[in-house]
Amino acid sequence: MKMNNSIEINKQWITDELQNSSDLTFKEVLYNGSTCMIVYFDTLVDATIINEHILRPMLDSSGGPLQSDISIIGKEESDQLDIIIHAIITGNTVIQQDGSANFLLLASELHKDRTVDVTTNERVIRGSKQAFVELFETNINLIRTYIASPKLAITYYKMGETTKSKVAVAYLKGACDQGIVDNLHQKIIEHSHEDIEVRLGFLKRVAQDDRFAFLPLMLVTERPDRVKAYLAEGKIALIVQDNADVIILPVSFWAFFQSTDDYNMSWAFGSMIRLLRFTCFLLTLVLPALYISVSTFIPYLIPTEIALTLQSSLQYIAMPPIIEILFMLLTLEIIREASIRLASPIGQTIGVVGGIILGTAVVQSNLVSTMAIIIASFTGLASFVIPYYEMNLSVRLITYPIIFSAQLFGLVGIVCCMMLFIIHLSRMKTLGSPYYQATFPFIDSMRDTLYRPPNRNLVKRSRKQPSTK
Amino acid sequence: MRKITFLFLCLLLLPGCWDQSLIKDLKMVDVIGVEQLEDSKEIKLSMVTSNIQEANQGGGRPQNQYFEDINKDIYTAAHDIELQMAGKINLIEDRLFLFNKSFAKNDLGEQVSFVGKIPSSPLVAKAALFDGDIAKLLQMKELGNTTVSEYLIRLLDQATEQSSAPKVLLSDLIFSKADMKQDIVLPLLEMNEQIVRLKGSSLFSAGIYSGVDLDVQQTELLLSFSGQKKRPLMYSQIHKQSIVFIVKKIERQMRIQVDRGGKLHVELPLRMLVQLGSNGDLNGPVSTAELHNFERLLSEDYTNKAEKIMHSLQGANCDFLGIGQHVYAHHPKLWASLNWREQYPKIAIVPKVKISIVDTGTYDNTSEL
Amino acid sequence: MTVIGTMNIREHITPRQLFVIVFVLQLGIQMFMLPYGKSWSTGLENMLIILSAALVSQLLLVLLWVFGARGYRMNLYTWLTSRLSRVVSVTILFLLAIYFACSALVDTLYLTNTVRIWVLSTTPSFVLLVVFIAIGAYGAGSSLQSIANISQTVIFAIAIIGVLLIILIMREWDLKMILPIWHVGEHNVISVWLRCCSAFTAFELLLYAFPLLNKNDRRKGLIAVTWANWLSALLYLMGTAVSFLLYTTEQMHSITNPLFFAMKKLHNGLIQGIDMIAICLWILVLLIRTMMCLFMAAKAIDHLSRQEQHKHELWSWIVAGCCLIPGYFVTKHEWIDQLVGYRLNTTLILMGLMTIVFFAAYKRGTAARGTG
Repeated sequence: MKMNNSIEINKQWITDELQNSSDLTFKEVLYNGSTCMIVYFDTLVDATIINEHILRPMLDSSGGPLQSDISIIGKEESDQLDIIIHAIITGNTVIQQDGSANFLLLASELHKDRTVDVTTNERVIRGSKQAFVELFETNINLIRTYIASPKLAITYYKMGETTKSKVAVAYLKGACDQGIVDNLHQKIIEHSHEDIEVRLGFLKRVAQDDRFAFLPLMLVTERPDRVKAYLAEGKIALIVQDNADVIILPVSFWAFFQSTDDYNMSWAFGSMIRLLRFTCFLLTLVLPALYISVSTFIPYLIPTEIALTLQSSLQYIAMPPIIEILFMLLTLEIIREASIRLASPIGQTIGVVGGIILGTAVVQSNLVSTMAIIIASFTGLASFVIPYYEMNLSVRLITYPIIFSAQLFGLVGIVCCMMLFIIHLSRMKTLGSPYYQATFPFIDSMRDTLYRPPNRNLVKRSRKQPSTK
Repeated sequence: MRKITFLFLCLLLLPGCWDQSLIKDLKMVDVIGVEQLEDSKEIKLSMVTSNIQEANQGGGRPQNQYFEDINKDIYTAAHDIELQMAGKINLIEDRLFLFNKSFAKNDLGEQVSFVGKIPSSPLVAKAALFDGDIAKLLQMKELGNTTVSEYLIRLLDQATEQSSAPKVLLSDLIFSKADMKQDIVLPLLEMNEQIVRLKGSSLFSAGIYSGVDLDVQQTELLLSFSGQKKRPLMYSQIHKQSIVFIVKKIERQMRIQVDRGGKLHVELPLRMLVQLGSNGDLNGPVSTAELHNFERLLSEDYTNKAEKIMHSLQGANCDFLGIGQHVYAHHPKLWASLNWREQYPKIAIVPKVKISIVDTGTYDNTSEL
Repeated sequence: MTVIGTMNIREHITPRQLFVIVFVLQLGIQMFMLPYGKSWSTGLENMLIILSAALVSQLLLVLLWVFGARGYRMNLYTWLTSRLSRVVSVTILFLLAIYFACSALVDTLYLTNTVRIWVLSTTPSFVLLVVFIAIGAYGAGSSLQSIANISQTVIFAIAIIGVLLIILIMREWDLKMILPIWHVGEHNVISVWLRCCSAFTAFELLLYAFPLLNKNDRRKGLIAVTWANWLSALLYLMGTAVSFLLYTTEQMHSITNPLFFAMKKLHNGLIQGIDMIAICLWILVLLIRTMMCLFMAAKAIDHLSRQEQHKHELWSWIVAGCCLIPGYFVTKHEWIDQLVGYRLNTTLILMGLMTIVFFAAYKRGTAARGTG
């Protein structure tokens, strides 16, 4: 809608449009003889900018046009109501000179900046410790400073019908497959009109090609150095407004077992730790189910001594093994969830209460066998070794179907479930490229997936993207 | 469509849980004893189950429980025992089968073969003969500090480890019946005044006990011929001096010659490299000449012993060394014309033991003494 | 050739993927059936038979490669629809679909039966069949590359079994157990040999997959397939060796799956039931077979109409559903054995037919090229 020439009418329109908010401020200033209306949210703007760069130049004016008097870089003109309203709510100051329908939009938002901080979720022992912050521009600034390359392309998008959140797509031209970039562009455009708050979880829909995906399809990181490494590898980074995390796309399954630490250490240690992570991943998936299949089906697998010990530990337990395991895993989930949400000093007591008191009491009251506790706590510990929270969550979820099928068919059930898991993995695609690439028998595809190669081999690592055809 | 399929699958799985048997309901049978009663046609089946008491608090006390039943065959007896048990009978963890001699004289493999047909069969359990009352042995429940089952299994393990007894699994026993070219030898245990010990081994012919036994020393020598590359401790009596030596290495061969009449002549050269442990009364340093003398005497002595063993083997019609297999492998035409079971006792088997003393120093393996 | 020019090639695979699929597919249910058909021949003879069967399969592979590498940039099904008249092509495709569906069913039935004998003795076999077929159908709904990926993941299972076999061979090695040689005598070598030949039948897939190779990958494709062929032959050889090292020919007649009995011998202080683990790992390998057969059947139906419909995911579920109905009525062990026999014979016949057809096509092709 086009604005009116009259200040009064415009004022009425803007007030109506912005729900008569109390923090909406109208100021009328006499400028070179004509009245000017200045509109802004006083909660959103930086008062010094208005005083120093808007009001003072206007009052000191020597008669030039308003546009040239005001010394702010972010200057735009518009006479469309929706644009003006959007400008006001994003912290701009708008000025109308009486008699003209044109509004001057001036960037004057208050930057509530948080200093670049130390990483909290993805801690490493060696290397960079900087983390992203909530501020969009600061994050892009970090990426730009980490990669001072003219090839770094950054494109802005606005997503969400009402929220209009800013999303930036960053990639290295040349390193990145243009097909994937175009694909992502398409998808963002497709989804940008959906009226959903732009959160990281929502963006998942951008990354995934299939309907369900039980595993994380995008890597969320708070570490600029990791973003740098992935950009150099030819991946795309998505920076979302108000998020202290950056999304990496498209990632493969194996990326979730890599950590920056691997590359800061000698390759042997790096490989060992990576194998450890993968083993822990498998253990988390299978261990509870194995326990159930051994203790619920005829114990083919284990030799007599272990069978006797297992039997003895289960002797007075009323619950069947599956209930035991589910109960213990539930307890584990509760402790985990509780300790995340609680303030950190109390969080420590949760560990004590949950781990020691509950554990001992449960065993002494013959509710759960010692073996089940060992299995559950081992599974819990193993799941923490996986360096990404999203992967950790997925694994915890996938454990349950395997547990149930182990209850039904024992070892065969576990095998069938693993087969389904492998099929699911292989069918998953992200931005047109396969998510999971089997590696095992071929050394060159095991490089930097199952093991971390020596540095000279790492340099030669192929930067080819999986084909998108 | 997918949802419907999924729901259908879920429906199918609802009645679920067919093969389950909770481990706590199982009675883990550890040792099974089968005896043929002398005066009747019935057999006596005795079972020892193991469990550990109070292990949920850490530690734990292993225990044996004893069950027995007299019935016309193993299967029905096992079924009857199940009725006495407070729990489900489970054979998968069984570690030892004991048979008495008169039972073994029957078609042993056939009688136990039903065990091999169920998937949860203890085919890797050891098998042994027991000379005496198995029920009485198993009823003791404890021997020394350990349970009977633990004791017997350790005893056999140790014996096979030292190659004083052949390692025979139940599956070998079951399949031995169908094997025409090679026979098995079972370890033989006995109880003497509350002490269970290895007595030697029993020779089987086509899966049936032949009634011939070898003592421990003979078994060790026989096992050397069969190629068990362990280091048994052996001793010999020469001119009333007992000589102890440790076998370091065994080189064995099997040479089969067929003469024009189709007669088989089997030569079994065996070379043992040994370490002299104790040279009896002749303490102190040993001269080279004496060593050579020892070697000669020992070789002669052992060749004699080996001849005796071969005689017993042929007498029992037990082709433990797989000579039949060898004939089949290298002279298939001859094999086809032979009736091996008839021919085997008649062929000439000539063992030749040659002992070389390679070392006279201190024991390097005193633990085996 | 104009039809080919406009063909839309959606899939293509790399030589490595080809290697993986062929390798895994060649190790089918025959691994359960070693030694072949309870023959009266000895270990070494059986091994020679396997080698000769591998040689035949190698020849077939080369023939297929010659056909596939001749520039046809389409798979068997499109080739059929584009070359033959509508009625004939539809009939052939339909027959092929039935053949593949039946193979999937029979192989899965055999697997079910084996699992029931060895692991889950009281679970109704139909439930197991449903589970296996459903997994197969889910996998069959994915693209060929995905199936290659799945197969590659499963290779770890084959590797474990290979290591177990090597351990057994090293432990039990005794030349006299696998001798003598050339002593088959009056026994039927031919049937054993045919059984062996049918073990090396991944050719069904190759018809589909060979033309999907990129043009410059063709030569590598042949090498990959050769590798797969001889590696699977090696595994069969090892399996046969283990069976014969541990059991004599007479014993083998009372042993259903000598390989798994042999695995029992590997029990140790940590894991008692190595055989159980081996079977469970082998389930993974066999599921790939089910998956691939369903995939081929679904693709065949997908090509029934003039243009490919790209609905093979739906079709694979439907075919799987159809498989279950006859599967419900097969309850007896002997029936399954018989069915497996029929299936192997059909495969052999098909193999022969295919050879003739391709030879003819090749001849005609060279003739056409010569004149044009």
